[in-house]
Amino acid sequence: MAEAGLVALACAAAVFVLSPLWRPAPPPAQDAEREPLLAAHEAVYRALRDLDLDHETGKLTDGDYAALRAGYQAEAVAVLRRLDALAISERDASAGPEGAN
Amino acid sequence: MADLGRFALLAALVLALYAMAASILGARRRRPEIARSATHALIAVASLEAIAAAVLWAALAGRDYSFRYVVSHVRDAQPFIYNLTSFWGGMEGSLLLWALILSGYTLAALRSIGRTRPPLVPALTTVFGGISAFFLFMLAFVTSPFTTSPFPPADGRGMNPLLLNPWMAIHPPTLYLGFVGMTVPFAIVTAGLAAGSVDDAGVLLARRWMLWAWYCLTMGLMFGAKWSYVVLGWGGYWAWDPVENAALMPWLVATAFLHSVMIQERRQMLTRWNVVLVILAFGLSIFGTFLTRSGVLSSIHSFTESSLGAFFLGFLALALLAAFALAAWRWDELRGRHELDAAVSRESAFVLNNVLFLAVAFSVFLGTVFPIVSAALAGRAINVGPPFFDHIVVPFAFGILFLMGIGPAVAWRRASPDGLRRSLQAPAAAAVVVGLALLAGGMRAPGPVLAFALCVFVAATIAVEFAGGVRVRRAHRGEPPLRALVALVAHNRRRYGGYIVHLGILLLFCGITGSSVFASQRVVTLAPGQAATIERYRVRFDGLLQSTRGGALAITARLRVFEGAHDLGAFAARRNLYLTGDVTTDVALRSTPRDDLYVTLAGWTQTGRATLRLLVNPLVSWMWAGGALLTLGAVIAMIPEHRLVPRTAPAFRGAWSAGE
Amino acid sequence: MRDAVGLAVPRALPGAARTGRGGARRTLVFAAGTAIVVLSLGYLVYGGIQQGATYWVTVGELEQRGPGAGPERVRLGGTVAAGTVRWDPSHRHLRFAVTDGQHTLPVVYSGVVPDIFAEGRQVVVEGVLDRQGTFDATTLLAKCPTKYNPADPKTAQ
Repeated sequence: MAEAGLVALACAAAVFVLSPLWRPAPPPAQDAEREPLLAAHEAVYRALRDLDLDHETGKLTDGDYAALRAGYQAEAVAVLRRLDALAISERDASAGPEGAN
Repeated sequence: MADLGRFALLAALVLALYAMAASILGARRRRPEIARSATHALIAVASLEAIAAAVLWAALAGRDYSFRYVVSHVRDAQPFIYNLTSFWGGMEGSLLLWALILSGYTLAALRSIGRTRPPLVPALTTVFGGISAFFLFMLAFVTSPFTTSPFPPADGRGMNPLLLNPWMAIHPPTLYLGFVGMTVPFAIVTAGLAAGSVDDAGVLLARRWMLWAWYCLTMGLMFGAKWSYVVLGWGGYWAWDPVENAALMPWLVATAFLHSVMIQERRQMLTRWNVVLVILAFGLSIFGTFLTRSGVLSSIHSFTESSLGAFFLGFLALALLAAFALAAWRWDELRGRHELDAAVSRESAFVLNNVLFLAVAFSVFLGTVFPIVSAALAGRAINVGPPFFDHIVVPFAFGILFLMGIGPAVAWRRASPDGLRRSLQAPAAAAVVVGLALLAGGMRAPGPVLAFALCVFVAATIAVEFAGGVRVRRAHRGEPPLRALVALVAHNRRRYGGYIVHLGILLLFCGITGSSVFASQRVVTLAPGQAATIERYRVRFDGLLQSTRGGALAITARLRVFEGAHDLGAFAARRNLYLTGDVTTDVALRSTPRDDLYVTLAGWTQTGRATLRLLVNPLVSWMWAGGALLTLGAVIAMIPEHRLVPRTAPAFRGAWSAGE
Repeated sequence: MRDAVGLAVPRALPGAARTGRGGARRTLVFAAGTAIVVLSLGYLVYGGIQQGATYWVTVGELEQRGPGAGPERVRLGGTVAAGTVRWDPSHRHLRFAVTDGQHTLPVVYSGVVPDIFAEGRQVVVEGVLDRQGTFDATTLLAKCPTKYNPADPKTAQ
């Protein structure tokens, strides 16, 4: 009786573990490439926000503030460009089979 | 039922190994369904471990003495709740708890990272599967919780009554949440190194997990200290015991990481350093588990001496070797993209902070393994006790404290010297004033004066930060001060949560200084009616009382405490004598923000005289308050900041705005 | 590994020293800082060992060496011999004997006695062997008795 229970448990586990092998694989997530870019964008935004706070509380000279801000903004633009390019390529990939764009 | 438990663990081991193999195979053959099967296998592993845990809990709750583990940890007279918490009272149960917590983290991590960084999932599955497999192997073949005896005794032995205490009940699980939690960053980083598909080696993704593990470890350490203080009755909370050090070392490395990862977030540098820190933190947490389980270093906490240690060391060596090999393989690609801008910047302060924390961690490690090292090198085992640790750690702690004050005042990238001077002027002045006041008040020892002055310095810089931020917010939005403060913290959770954590650490530091330097002790033998004075208290002994409490013979010294003419109430210092021969102490404890009056019953005579040990420990309650404040700060810092950037594709800008 | 941001970002702030000199100076500062920390660590470790080091000995070794072979503080591990635990009337001074199975040594101790201390339990004492051959202990640690030793997996099954 107890052995039957253990066998049943083993079968249930085996079925659960092996079941994905018979189902078609889900499509790869679209967000895979976007996530690191989004994280980088957030990091730049956060740096900009802290930069403003640091400057307004008097920890940065005006010259350094201006230079750093320019640097961060250039980074932000670059990341946005990459995100845009990614969105375009994704849009093209999904729109391609359905007709001209 | 024991068969079910044994079977579940064995099956889980098989499935963990399968998960490892399948995820490697699935990644190489590019067959996502095989990788998905590996994930299912880990889900099954978690379920099977849960079944095994349920079996053990049922046996403990039902006092099934056919289980040897139950016999060792449960007794008919033991309060029911402790029967349940005895799950982690012994080695086998704690390893099962370890495995269970690991599975919980595994599933949470796989789910979260499956959404944010799917390419990492196969490698993650491999790493988690491998670590789980080790613990399951130990549970299935080396230390099984499910060994039975054919002739169950009528009653169990029960746990050592020292462990029958709420603090000891929550200390192991909390500590384990921290220890095991260090596995997740390790898995993420090794997966990142192996998969090679992320630019930061997964370090930034690991940050949040490490923060959580760090917090749990902090609480675990504090619960252990609290238990030591109120239960063990020696009046202290930290003895530089090898097992205490084992939990402290990963904490120090994790703290260093939490600071240096901020540099990586902003400047994409120190990636290699952070990778090393993550691997080190994991290694130290396994080493810590190993120290607790093997008796290799004589410690009050060690459960037993066994060959378990050899297995742990082998696993540790293998895991570290593999991780560092991966890091070496990817070393060039991990090169930082920037360098330090200026010597006076928050980045350089953080780098120095890291160096100091690692120096302390190294010293603690050296002191802990000194007997082994000296035996190997010099032929004689040499022990280094608390004086060694205090001698080294205290100066470094001062350095770290000082940096804690500088850090908030200095800007990222490059601080303006004028601005820095302005920010630090008032705090430095406050520190000097307090220092002089303490000296004038009669405190002569330079150490504590410096310590308290530094604490004031740090607290003042943090206050300046809060005030400055509120001022800026009000300048922009005209909010009333209180609203501005709340909004400031709410919108800069990581920064201000961190400052609150630092305030908690300051309280902790003050508490440690006060109780270490200014504690006073008296040992007196009193007849009923006699009193003894210590510091500002007068303790009157009103006689001994004998009773039975919780299955033990309790000898209670009835006490009455006075401060001047003020009657502070009745207190009891007790010794509980159990039939098993165990003894526990109930401390008469009166805590105030100023100090703790701590009285223990050391002994008694047949004539009814009692030998009492009287202690006054200043500022101990500041430590526990610091822990609470630290919790508040950590919770604030851990609340995820809502995305500054929308998750969906951002609107096109510039040249790409042509209509949609 | 791919970079998340492709555009080159200025490596240093304008106005910072030229990379050549700045880089060399930065490395020097860094090296000097690290050297200072390492040296102070070494100094502190050395001092710490002087202050806190005690040698592990066995009961037999100490008995053999005898008293007066240096006031060296040692650490001794052993078991509390049965029937040897005695308290003085004021319950402040503890006398017992520690044994390693073959040799036995008397110990006197006046500090806090851990609750786990009892006859037959393992203890670690730290102190000095005095001229009368009694071990004057300043530290006493006791160990929880081993309830279950899975060193031999066969007996555990």
